[in-house]
Amino acid sequence: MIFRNIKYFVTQGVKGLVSNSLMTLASIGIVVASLVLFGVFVLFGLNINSVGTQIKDQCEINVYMPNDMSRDDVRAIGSQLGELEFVKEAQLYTKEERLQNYKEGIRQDQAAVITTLETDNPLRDAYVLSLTDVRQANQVAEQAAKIKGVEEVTNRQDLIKTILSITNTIKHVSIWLLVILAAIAVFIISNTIKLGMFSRRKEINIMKFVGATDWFIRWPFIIEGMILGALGAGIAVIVVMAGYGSVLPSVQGFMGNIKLLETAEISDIIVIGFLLMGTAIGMAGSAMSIRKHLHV
Amino acid sequence: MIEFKNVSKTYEDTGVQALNDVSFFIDKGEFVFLVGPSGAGKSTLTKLLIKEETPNSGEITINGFDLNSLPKNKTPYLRRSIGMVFQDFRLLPNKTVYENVAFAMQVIGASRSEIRRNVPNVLSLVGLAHKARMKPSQLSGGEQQRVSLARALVNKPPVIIADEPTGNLDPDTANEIMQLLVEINKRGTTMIVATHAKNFVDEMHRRVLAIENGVLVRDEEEGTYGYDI
Repeated sequence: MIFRNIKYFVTQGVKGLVSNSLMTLASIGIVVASLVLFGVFVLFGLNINSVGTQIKDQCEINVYMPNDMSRDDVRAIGSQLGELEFVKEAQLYTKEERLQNYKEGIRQDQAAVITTLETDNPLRDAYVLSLTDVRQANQVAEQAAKIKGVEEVTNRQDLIKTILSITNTIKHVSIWLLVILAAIAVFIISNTIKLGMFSRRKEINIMKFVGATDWFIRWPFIIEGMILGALGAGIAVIVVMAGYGSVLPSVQGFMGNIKLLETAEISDIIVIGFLLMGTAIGMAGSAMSIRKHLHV
Repeated sequence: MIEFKNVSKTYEDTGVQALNDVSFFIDKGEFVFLVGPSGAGKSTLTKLLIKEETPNSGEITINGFDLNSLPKNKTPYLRRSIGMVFQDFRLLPNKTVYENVAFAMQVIGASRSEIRRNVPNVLSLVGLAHKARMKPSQLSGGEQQRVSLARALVNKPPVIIADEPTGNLDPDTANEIMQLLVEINKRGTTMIVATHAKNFVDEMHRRVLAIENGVLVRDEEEGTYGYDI
């Protein structure tokens, strides 16, 4: 009985879509437009979030020693740094190691520079502090600077703050955008369903007289709305994924060693999220019409 | 089987009192004509029977349903026990004769095999088995009313309410439809026919309930129409 009815509801829902094709297309179009626009913000937000995490992971405090300090003194300071609160590890990079790293990073045609550097290494011994809590970076930097013998301390806390604030702004804008776009989509879908109800009012009237239950009359319209929403979401998924896939390589080119999210990493959240949202928007549109116009 | 006890109905929006203290009892298998001038309250009475309207006071019982205490979500089950036939047939133009009748079974969740068994039977009963694949627009008025009657019968309701079933038909066709109603009544279905067809009421000598200005003015066992047309 239930399966038989489901088949009937779906058939009727699809019939409703086909018989009202112009409004169906308009509804699907508005769902696609809403979700694509929302998708752009979501992808932007997800990437900013990921970039933020990567930078946070790279958030280390560099503590530089005077160039002429003996290695023993440097190590003594290193053990003090390791004991500071919120410091996970204090890793020493000697000026020789740092020069070696630098040499590996520059091009062969700059060999003359290397020769100069090797004779008179201007780099200093440095400790790189990794932290247990990156939010305490400023406090740790201050503590480190107070240790006698430390020449300079640098940290990237400001950059992290900026990124966190951008991420938050995008989150808020995305949510508001979704609410507004979803409201528009719900309104358009509810009008489509309303028209469907109007064109089938005679049928509905007969259904009532022969004893169809209220839900039996409602379900085809709810399913019609759900199909509208899901179709729109499906198209939006294709547009967003294809668009992201095509711009990703060129944007990644500008980002250096900071990795943007791969298409495969976002596909689950986009596909599942969009389909759920599209279907929910469709259901909400139908429910609104049914409540207002279908007096069963 | 059907009982009205001191039923009154006033429409709140217009203030019109459509029924005033109406009481009657109709037994199982009776054939009853409901007569009276236009606007007397016949339509209100039929609307109360299928709970399309609710009375302001009084009690209505039909097929074991106490309409005063029947919750809204149980109304469909009441309606499944009443077959409705209308003056304007109310057929779906895009469905065939078969589909129009099958639709009444489909919407109450009947199985495909039940539909395949019952629809041809009921179409044979109303004499339309050979036109099952036609659309209503291809049928005469009388044939359309037969389809509407088949649809009312297909779920085997104990009661049929026909609201002006011959109102749109020529005399010969009207006679055929009325004979069909009598035939169905003989098989045990209680029949309530609201009509202005004086000739049928006068000739058939059936029970007559006459309503004027919302008041039941006559309840005669073998009554007549009683009004000039």
